[in-house]
Amino acid sequence: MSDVSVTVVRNILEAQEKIAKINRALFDSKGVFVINLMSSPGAGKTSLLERTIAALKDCFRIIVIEGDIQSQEDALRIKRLGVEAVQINTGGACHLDANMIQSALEQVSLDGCDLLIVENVGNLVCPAEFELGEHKKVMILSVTEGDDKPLKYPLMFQKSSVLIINKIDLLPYVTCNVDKIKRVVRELNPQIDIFNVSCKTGEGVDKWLEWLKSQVSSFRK
Amino acid sequence: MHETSIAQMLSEIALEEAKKHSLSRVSSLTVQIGEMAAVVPEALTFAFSIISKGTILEGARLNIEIVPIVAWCSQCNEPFEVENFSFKCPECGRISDNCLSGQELLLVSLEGEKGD
Repeated sequence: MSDVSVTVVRNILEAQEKIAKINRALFDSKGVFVINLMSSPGAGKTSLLERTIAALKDCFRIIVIEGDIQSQEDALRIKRLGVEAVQINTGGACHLDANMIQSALEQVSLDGCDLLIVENVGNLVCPAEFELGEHKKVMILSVTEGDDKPLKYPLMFQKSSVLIINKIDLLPYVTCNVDKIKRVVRELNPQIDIFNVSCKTGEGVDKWLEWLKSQVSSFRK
Repeated sequence: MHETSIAQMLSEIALEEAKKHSLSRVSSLTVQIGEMAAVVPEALTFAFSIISKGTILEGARLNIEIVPIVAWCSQCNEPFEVENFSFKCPECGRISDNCLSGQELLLVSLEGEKGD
């Protein structure tokens, strides 16, 4: 017996990141643009999806993967719009991972698909830490959550390509400084695109759709 | 919030490396966690102590090194430490989008006994 020290230097998440790379290669080969949609519970992910699908389903073939701890609620909401949806129930896990996406992909065909939207588990922390193989991370913050959230939960704001500030129709009734959100978020992430939206009234949704359409079109095969 | 699954992946990698280097017992593991990785050291240590039970990792100490967030300022041509997640350069005020470190989640080394 002898005491030894072994140098390793391996990424602890390597198994997940390897699967994320496989997922990404599949998306690229099929010409499917993939977004990972994240937010706290109740910020409006499914509402934004409903608006997005209604506007784009005639231009693009869209598939949705819904992640929730429990229930089929969200997949049913999406299927009602005539779009293919797969529900993942994490059974308690606070985020989706690349492995869960790989399994969900067995249930759909990506042939001819233009846009795959993964709606992550409602959580403002963990989903940002796990790569799924997506092209872009998109997050929502609703004005009812407060303008202090980017400072309290910076990671997701730092990693996202787009921030949608939702429920702006409620601004007269809540204390939330949208300019402060934007200022703080741009210090975390100078390249982020920010859109003010009300999924309820539809205000501002067009700007988001414009962004999404240009991204999907550039990926289409 | 998911330190248990991270502890699980850490254990798997550590066991693989221990086997590769013919370790019969692991006494400590050195792990680097970036400040931006959002992993709580206490929770990881606790989860690891449970997950490692019954393996050659049981009872091993987890040495956790926290890696600060460092960004590169392209105007000053200097790195700077990011505090409170503000990527604004303290010298010139320019906001950096070039993060050099702080996202790590690495198993750096293992210490233990070599088997016969």
